[in-house]
Amino acid sequence: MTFQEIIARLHRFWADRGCALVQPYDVEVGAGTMSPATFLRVLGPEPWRVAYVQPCRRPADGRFGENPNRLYQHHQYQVILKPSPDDVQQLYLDSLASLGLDLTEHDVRFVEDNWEAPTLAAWGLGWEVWLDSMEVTQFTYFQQVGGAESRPVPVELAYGLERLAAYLQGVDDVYDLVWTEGLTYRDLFHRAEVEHSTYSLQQADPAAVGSLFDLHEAEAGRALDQCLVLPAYDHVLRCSHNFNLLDARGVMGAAQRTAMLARVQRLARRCAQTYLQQRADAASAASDPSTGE
Amino acid sequence: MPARDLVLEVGTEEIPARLLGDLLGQLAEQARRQLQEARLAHGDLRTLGTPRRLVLLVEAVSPCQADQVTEVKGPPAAVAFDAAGMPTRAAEGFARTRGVGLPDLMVREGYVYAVQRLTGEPAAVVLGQVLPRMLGRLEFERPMRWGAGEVRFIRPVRWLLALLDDEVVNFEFAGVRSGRITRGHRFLAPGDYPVSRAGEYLSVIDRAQVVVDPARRRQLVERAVREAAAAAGGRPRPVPGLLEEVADLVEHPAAFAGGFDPAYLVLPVPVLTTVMRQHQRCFPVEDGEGKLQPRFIGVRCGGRHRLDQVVRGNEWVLRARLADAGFFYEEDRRTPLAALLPRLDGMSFGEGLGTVGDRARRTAAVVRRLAGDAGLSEEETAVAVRAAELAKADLGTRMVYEYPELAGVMGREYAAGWGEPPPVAQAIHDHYLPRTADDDLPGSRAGALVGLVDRLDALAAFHSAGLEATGSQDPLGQRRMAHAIVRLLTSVLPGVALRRAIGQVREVQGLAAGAWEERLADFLLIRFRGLMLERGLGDDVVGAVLAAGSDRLDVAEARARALVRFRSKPAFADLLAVQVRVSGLAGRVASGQAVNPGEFREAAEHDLHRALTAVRQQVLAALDGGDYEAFWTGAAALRGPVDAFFDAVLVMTEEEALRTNRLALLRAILDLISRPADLSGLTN
Repeated sequence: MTFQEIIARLHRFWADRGCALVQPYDVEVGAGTMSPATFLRVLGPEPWRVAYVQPCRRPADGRFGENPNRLYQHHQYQVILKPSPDDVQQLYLDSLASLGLDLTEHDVRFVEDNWEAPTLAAWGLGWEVWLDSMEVTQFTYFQQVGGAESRPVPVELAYGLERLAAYLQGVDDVYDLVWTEGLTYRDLFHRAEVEHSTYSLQQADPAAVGSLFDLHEAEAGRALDQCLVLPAYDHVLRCSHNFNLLDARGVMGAAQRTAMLARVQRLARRCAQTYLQQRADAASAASDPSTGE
Repeated sequence: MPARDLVLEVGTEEIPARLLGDLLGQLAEQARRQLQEARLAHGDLRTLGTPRRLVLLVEAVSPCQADQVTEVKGPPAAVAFDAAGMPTRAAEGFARTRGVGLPDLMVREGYVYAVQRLTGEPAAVVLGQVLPRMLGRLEFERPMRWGAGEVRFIRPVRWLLALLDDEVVNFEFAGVRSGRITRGHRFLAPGDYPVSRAGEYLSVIDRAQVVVDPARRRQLVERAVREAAAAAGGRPRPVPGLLEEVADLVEHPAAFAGGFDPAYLVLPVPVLTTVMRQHQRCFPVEDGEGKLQPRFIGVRCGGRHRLDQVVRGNEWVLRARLADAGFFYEEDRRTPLAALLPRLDGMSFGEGLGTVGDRARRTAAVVRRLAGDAGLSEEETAVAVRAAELAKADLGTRMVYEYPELAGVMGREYAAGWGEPPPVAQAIHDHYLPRTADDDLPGSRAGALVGLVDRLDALAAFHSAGLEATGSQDPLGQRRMAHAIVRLLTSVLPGVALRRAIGQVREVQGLAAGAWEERLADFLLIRFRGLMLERGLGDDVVGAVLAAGSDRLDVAEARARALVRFRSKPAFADLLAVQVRVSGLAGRVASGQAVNPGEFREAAEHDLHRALTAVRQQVLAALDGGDYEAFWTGAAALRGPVDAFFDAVLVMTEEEALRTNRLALLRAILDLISRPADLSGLTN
């Protein structure tokens, strides 16, 4: 099954189960969770079902296109179901079956793996899902996001598409994956892997990246002062990406690293709080008879 | 109605393997407690479970709650009944307020009692309240919420089966109603399985392809792994804790053998076993001589259907992991030590506690200062100092970054590549030992000393910064460090004195002296007392020895052992008598108050002083020689002269000089006999 066919089938599967299919977010993120379609939409009481592919950049994982498993950028298939449905495990297993896997012929396991994202002030409990001992999905019940208790609790399914595809196609090297007939992963991404690895690990100017961090932090704060949560959050994501670049360059001391993480987290918390406040205000305005007809 | 059997099954999403055993223990304990509180008699009670279910089985549950009879005391019988024996208004009033009829009044010892009878409810009704309460009382390290609910549990609850024989015990928990349906193995027997009566639960669950008894699962896994390894021409290499974990990761085990490219056998054995364990919970395979084979044994949750495909998948995953590990190993070995050590200066040990590099340098300095105490030769000292400098270098390697549990193991491995002599490499490895309470001790004194100082350095940094472990809060693992320290001091490193070592660490760290030092010493001594208890030495004896002020824990342990032996001998009573008689008065003068034989008036004074002089020489020689029993035996011989002294002499005489001299004599005796242990807290 080609890479894009996997995506198409997951799209079909989750669309049939009431998920909105949205497009990848257009700001650099390290995980599908960071897209506002997850981070902001999981906040508050409104039900939300969404599925999307998210290219994820992890500068420190760049391997110059030489490592068969590690990538500067990989693809997650992200599903959010809020509140988490009672049959979510079965839904997930059905989604694997929709990829043509006969699960009675494999070994599928839910192995404890709790999730924590300090920059997002978020954590959850759940598992890594094993398919014949390969971790193909991170399955998490969010407990807290942006420092706010999750009520109701959303569940996140983050499929590692490269892993899943490599398994389904039986290839050892990610670059040998068939994206679609006549087009390999190598054709599409190898050049980008080499260049981004070179840039992130060797060439990025730490001073410039550091000042980009500062600029985005300041701009995020300014936008938040105007209650412009979504633009502010874009800047938080850019802070996070620039932080990851500095991390990959290995130029941060431990104390500096901790301090910068805390700065990103502070902004993420403010975004979450402001967003929740806006939703609450909108809800009370809607139920206020004086604003009705 | 006869007694009936109860089964409760809580169906959940996958419970973490490491927590299942504890949960089943809690469930049994809560069940016993709640049933007792509910006055529901029962027979045998046990818990079983898998990753997807917690099961409680109780045999012979009484059909009804026991009736409860309480008696409430009322007015005197003379007031409650008239001369004819008829109840008065007082009796009627009392009966009314207690809610009983007049026939339920009873007279005993001149008073009226109201006898209240609470008739027990039927068991099914009681259990309908007891079972959810019991589930609500379970405690979790990290409880979770799910969906729109507010209930917290270990993982989401998806079904509840509760049967009292054939009757459903009705209740609701976490939004789920109880019933008589269980669910089968996810893939081997998917779907619902109704259970008609409690006694059939085990056979139904068996038919549903679930091995619900953890002990039996462990047996099955153990045997299956052994057989699979034998078929692959070897035997499974034991990996601590792995069997237990694997058994609680499956509902129905099937073992299989897989292989990998023998070229990877060039990787160090701990790397291979860690990779197999960490990512796939697989068992390594070794041959008859213990040599690792390019094979592994995995355990699937399911049957043998298309096991070939599962094997292929596992091999694929292991291949990728080994390729990664091989890459790390090659890269690390290419990295010279000179490039590695500066990385430690970029690793913070904690806010305000310096870097890992600082710690390595401090440890080396303190090791140099304490090497003599520990009796290290010049050669061993050089090894220890070098090992201290390099002990944390492997934290800068890719392999340890990826597999933190290989710290020390990789240090030893890579040290050879850095051109270090084998004893240094071994000491780098050994300084992490013991990692746990039952782990091996280091084989070399050099490694032990580095490990001792490394931990003391950390504890001193934490304690001086006010970061002590309190109550159940010990995120930095300080108790484990303390336990390791007292084990080292009482085994591999006799000769190192506790407070002196803390003082050296303080000086080298440049910390201000303060109350934290004594608190740190106390923190360690608590672990020491615990360790001594484990070794069968009572706390009163250990306390006596510590109160005598020994700063060397190896000496304290030897004295405590001797004291336990001496305590069972007749002379101990004599020693205790001496201690009791002299300590009553000796405290009135300070230690070191000179005794002047010229001031003696009574023969008994001279006799006691002569006896003391003779005994002192003898027992101090014994003390020096570490023969504590001889010390106390000698000291016990003072009983005769002491008794004679008190018979003949009035100590508290009016004449001050005379009195002081007599007190000084008693003080000298007390000080002498208290040298190895303060006997004041001991009884015969």
